[in-house]
Order: sequence, then structure tokens, then C-alpha cells
Amino acid sequence: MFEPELIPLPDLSDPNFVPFWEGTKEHQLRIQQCEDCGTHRWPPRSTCRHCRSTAVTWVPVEPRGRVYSYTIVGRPTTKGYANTPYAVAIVALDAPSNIRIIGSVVGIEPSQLAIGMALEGRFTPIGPNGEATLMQWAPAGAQA
Amino acid sequence: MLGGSHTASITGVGNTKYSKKADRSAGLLAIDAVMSAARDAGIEPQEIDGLIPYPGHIGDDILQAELDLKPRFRTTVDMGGCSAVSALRIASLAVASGAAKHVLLFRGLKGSSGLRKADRPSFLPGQPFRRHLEHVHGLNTPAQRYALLCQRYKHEYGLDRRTLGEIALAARAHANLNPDAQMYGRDLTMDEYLAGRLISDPYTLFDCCLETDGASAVIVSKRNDARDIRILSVAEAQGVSPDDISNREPFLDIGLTQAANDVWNELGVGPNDVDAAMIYDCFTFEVLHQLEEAGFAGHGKAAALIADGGIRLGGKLPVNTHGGMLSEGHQAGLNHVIEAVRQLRQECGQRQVEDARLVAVSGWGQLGDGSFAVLGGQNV
Ligand SMILES: [Zn+2]
Repeated sequence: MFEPELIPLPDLSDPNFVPFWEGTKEHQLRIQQCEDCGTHRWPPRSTCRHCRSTAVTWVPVEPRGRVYSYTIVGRPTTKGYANTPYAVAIVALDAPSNIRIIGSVVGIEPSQLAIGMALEGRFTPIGPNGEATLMQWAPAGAQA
Repeated sequence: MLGGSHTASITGVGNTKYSKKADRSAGLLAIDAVMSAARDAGIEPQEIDGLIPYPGHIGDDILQAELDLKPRFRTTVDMGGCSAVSALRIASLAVASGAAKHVLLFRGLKGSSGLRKADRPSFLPGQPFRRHLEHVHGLNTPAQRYALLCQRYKHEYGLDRRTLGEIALAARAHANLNPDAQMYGRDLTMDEYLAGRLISDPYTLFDCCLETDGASAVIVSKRNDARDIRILSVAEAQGVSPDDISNREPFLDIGLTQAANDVWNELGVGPNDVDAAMIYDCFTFEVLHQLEEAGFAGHGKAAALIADGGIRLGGKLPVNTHGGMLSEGHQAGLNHVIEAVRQLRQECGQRQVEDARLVAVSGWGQLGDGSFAVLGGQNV
């Protein structure tokens, strides 16, 4: 198990990420969408690569997708993740399908994870006082 | 004449022994390597008038003060593991333009007994989104990020652990012919490789490069003496979304694909024409991946080249005859340039590639920046 209270919090006031962290607090996954051409993008950036517009909005998306790639970490390298092995996956969203989201995977033995497996978001408070909510991934349909 | 008669040359190379724990400071290691390179080039250190230090390591100020250098040209190339080969390009341009006569590329670091990689400041781009989106998920090392590439490749093309093992074993076998190598005198068997502890699946211990104390130096000059090794062509490029792997499309796209293609096109030679390749080997899979992207094998086909001794001395394409970063030492690829030069000068003794005339060198850094060079003697 990971230790959510030990995970170092990023700067939650960073304007490029405020909408993201506000979303996870409400158990929503929000990503960026270009206001001019409608292209979704991730990770957050200031400019749309498609049309160069800097007008951006944040939209909620279904936190569902399939494992695109993953790794099983065998040796601790970060606070909050002292217990190895644990898995981290790149998950391709079901929709919009051009977006992939990185996340640690819970609710499954790391060795059982496979590319193509269906996962869904799982929201957990992190930080010493639960200051932020982290969206991790877990097998779709499994009990929390 | 390949590359034209006015190409820049590598005129001097030098290095310390590579080790887990050096008994001298990083500054003294660097000075040792630089003095060796100057002697090798047949010049006085004061003739060095251009400097390209490796960012974040022993600085050029120290070196200038200690050796009383008077550079007219100074820059850094901040491209992680492809800095060395990219710096060859900057140095070539500098000497060709007359900005400098002799440009020194150097690196000196106690990367093993001093601050190790995980404790040094990261120069990787995209730090803000990494803190928000990756570190909070326990993802924060190069091994973990590159494992994500390897795992996807494995899914698309298939990949036997023994193929990665052979890359590690070939590097070790070569290092055992190289007394300067950190792993000289230490054999590695396939059983030992397979029993290596998990680092970040599919990577286990022996898939990962070393951390090293040591220094390396290369001098690039506008000179074509008989012993000088010409930089026949050198190019660099970056992958799509160079700061991010997760949303890169195509996922396995890297800068090297374009850089190598540019070099082959400029020179009018191809992968089958080179006698050896020094491939940036931060991890085993990155060797396989680059062999494909540089055209030495088709997509999904490098395993066949690697099998049956294909990348060992005497094989179809000897790779990293010095032992690479997997077994000679981590010099951020500057040691790959040095080995290419020594192979072309036929100075490699037991590990000499017979009649080596053309040698390719690759660099890889920052999640997908790539650089590529082909070097050759005066007679090609
Ligand atoms: Zn747009």
C-alpha cells in the first residue's frame, strides 16, 4: 500500500493546475480543451498545438480508459511510495481517445496488470491533512 | 572525399580511469582528462580557445583558472545524454566559422561517490507538470520513464528478456577488454543478468547504466593531419512533444529517427556501410530502440541483429566496444565519442574492430532528443 499522507504536495496554487486539483477534489477528472478549435490536450499547456490559440477551458471527462503502457517499480524512489512493488500506468482514455493520463494503479497485484486492461479513476486524499485529492487508477468495476 | 575536405576533426581525446570511487576531486579528474586530450592532439592547453562544458558538472571557470585558458568561444549544450554528440556539431560549426581553433568538450563528475543522479538537480524539461502529474504517482526516475517505452515496444513487437540480457552481456564482454572500464575484470553471465533485482519492470539491475566517477575530454579542431578523425556528418533532432512521453504520438518516436536519416542522406552512405556503432546506452532497451530508429534494423527487427553475437566484436555490427555506459562508465556519451575515435585510429588493441573506417555515434537525452554522427579517418 502507498502512504497518501506522505506524498509531497505540488504547488496547489499554480494557476496552470488549479482547475485540475479543484476537479479531483470533486472526484472529477478535468483536462484542457482549446476554446477555438475544440482539441483536447494533456499535459496542461498554454497554447494549442493544433491552432496556436491560447484560449483554453477545462472540461470534465470520464475517468475511464485502458492501459497503454505501465511499469512495476521495484525499488522505492519517492515519498509515499516506500512499499514496492507498485505499478504506474499510462492510461489511454476511452474518450477523448487522444488523451493519455499517467497514474499509479491500486486494487490489483502489479504482476496482474496488462496492456489493454480497463481501468477507472479512484480518488484518494493526499498530503498530511488531505490537502489535495489524487486520482489513481484501479480495475474497472472493482469495489473501492 | 566523404563529407567534403573542409570537415572539422576530432584531434584529441582523453579520459581518466572510470570507477565507483575516485581518490581525487572532480576538478582534478577533469584536468587529467583535458591534459591527456591536449597531449593527444599535440597542442598546449593554452591553444584551446573554445569550451563546451557539460551542464551541471565541473564548470569551465575552474578549468580556465587552473589551466590558464583564454577561450574566445564558450557555450553549453543542454540536451542531457545527447549533449556530447550535439556538442560535436556546435564545435564543428565553431571551428568552421573561425569562432575558435580548438574547442574542448569535457565532463568531470563524481557521479558515483559524490551526489548520485537521484540527488542532483534535474535538468529534465517540464518540471512543473512532472511535480503535479508524475511525482505524486511515484514516477520520478529515468529508469521508470524509459521502462514505459520499453513495455509498450514489448507489447507491439514482442521482446524476450534474453535479448535485453545479450545487450548487457555484450557490453560487459567488451568492458572486459578495456582496462579503463569500471566493470573491467567482472564477468556477467545470463543467469546473473536474469537474477538481477527489479528496478522498474521490464528493467532489472543489469539493464541500467552505471553511475561513475571519472572525466572525459574531446578536442575538435579545424585540422586534417593524418591522425585526425573527421566529423563527416552530424545532426540532431527532437521527438514529438519533447518534454513528455505519455502523450507522444507516435509513442516510440524519438529525435534520432530524423537525425540519423539526415546524416545518411547528407553522406550518401547507409547503416550497412559503418563498421561499428557507439549507441547511447542509458538502459538496454534504448540500444535496441536506437538501432532500429537509426536504421541498423527495421522496426521490431533489432532482436535478430542482437542475437548470435551480432553486436559483439566480430559480429555484423559491433556496438559499444568500450563497454558503454552499461559497463565502461557513465560519461553522458562523451566516452562513446572517444571510443569511436580510438577505433578509427586502430588504437583499441584486443577490442579493435578490424579495419574500422566508419563509426557511427548516437546520443539520446531528455526523453527523446537525439543526435547522430558518423566519423571517419582522412582516407575515406
Ligand atoms: Zn486549438
